Amino acid sequence: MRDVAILGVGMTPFGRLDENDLLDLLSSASLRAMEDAGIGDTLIDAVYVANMGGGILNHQTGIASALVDNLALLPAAADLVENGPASGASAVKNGVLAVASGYYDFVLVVGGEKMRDVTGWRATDFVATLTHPYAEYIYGVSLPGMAGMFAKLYMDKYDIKPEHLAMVAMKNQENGILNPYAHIQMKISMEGMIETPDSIVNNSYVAKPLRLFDCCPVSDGAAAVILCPADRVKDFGKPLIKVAGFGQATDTHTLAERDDPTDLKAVTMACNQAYKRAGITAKDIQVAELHDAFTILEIAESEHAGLFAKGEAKKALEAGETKIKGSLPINPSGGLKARGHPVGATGVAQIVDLTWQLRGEAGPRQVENHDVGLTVNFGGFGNNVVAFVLRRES
Amino acid sequence: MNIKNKKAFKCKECGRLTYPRRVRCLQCKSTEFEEVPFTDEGEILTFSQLLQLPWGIDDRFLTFGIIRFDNGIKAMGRITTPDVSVGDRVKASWENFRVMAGEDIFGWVFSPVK
Ligand SMILES: [Zn+2]
Repeated sequence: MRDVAILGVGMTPFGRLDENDLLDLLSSASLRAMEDAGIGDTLIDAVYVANMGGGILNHQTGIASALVDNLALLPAAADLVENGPASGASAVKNGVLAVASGYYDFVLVVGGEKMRDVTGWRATDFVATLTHPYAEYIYGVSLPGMAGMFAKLYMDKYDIKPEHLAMVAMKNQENGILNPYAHIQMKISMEGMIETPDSIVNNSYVAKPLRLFDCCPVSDGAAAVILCPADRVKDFGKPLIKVAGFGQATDTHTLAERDDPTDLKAVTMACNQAYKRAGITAKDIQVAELHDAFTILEIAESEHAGLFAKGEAKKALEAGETKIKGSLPINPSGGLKARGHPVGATGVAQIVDLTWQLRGEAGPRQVENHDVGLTVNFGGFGNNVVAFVLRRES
Repeated sequence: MNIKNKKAFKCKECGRLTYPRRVRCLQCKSTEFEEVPFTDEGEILTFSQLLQLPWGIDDRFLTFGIIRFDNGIKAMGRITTPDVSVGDRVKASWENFRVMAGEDIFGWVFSPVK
């Protein structure tokens, strides 16, 4: 197995992008990553596209073949990877394996989603199709509903207050203001969110105990990376950002069948695999991009990833440790909460953001210690999780 | 699909309960199952009241949760009221609770035991 590096990264702004269709978004992010890598397009052997809803939302299938044509990358190999909201990291994983094996040298991985072609209700229904069709979906449960049932138990078990969830939302929206690619560019206050007359209007319940500001927006957008063997990076004069390790684990389809529904086993297993491959422990992680589709998930994932002991993440939040200037910044990009969540793009965007951090190119949201970082891409309701550890080397 | 969905199973090898149906036991990998009847009542393990509903649902809000039946089977279903707590006892009934694309949909509806 060869060491694999991230040679180039790029993404489109996330948001409501009415002017662009799915192919435009994928193409734009790809061009930006190719330009960043500084490679001629003749070098690209294979393309992995992460997308969940092309067929359902945009009435377009075979998007990977359409993309290589549009980008003039023919006859590069092209595949679509669909793994729900973890499609992005799954596609990167496939690209990493392809380069590590020695079969391909230069691989483009691009994730994208065009969700705002449909109304919010339709988009919610689309994402809900990943729940169990007979045992969950028919009841009208949505991903916010799954997260609500999880939050109810997790908050009771670890005495997490609505204020802690609001602290996650405030932090990530504050970070989003520093990120020109973020969908949500708005500062919010505790008073606007919790226990005031204003908050009842501004921050209504979506799926109790979760409210509007506990949920990520529905976004359009795309993100891309170029992977290559680590020993080729110097040819392009780029910083060496290595894929130190990845991990992936699955869990039961239905939430009901888990022995302990508060235990996100797949997160723990995916992260531990990634740490082991990288030869590190959770204590070595200096910055993390976690899958905060719901604020409770940032808290729960940070604990399941071993960044904090169970029940301790709320103390880190209270102390500001997870802010950009804190001792362990989490989601300096703004996370899904502020950057947005075009489902197929998210896992790739996390890796793009972390690469910028490790290179020291994150501008006003740059964290101080940036040698080793973690991404967690959470598919389904935790039934398919992909984690990456990236490391800056000289 | 609705009739199949009403059945819960017990692994003939290790006794693990499973719902809905699966082809191999999660615990011992056996493919031999026997049908187990649901009990009349159970207990709420968790629940949520959904106020932003996905496309295809006409209600203003709905409540659903995960229930552990008294014989240990766990299943999700609608709950008739949001005014419940974790640990509450509920009565289970299999009802036509929704129409999707013109088809009657049957599933679990749980109501608090008075
Ligand atoms: Zn068994």
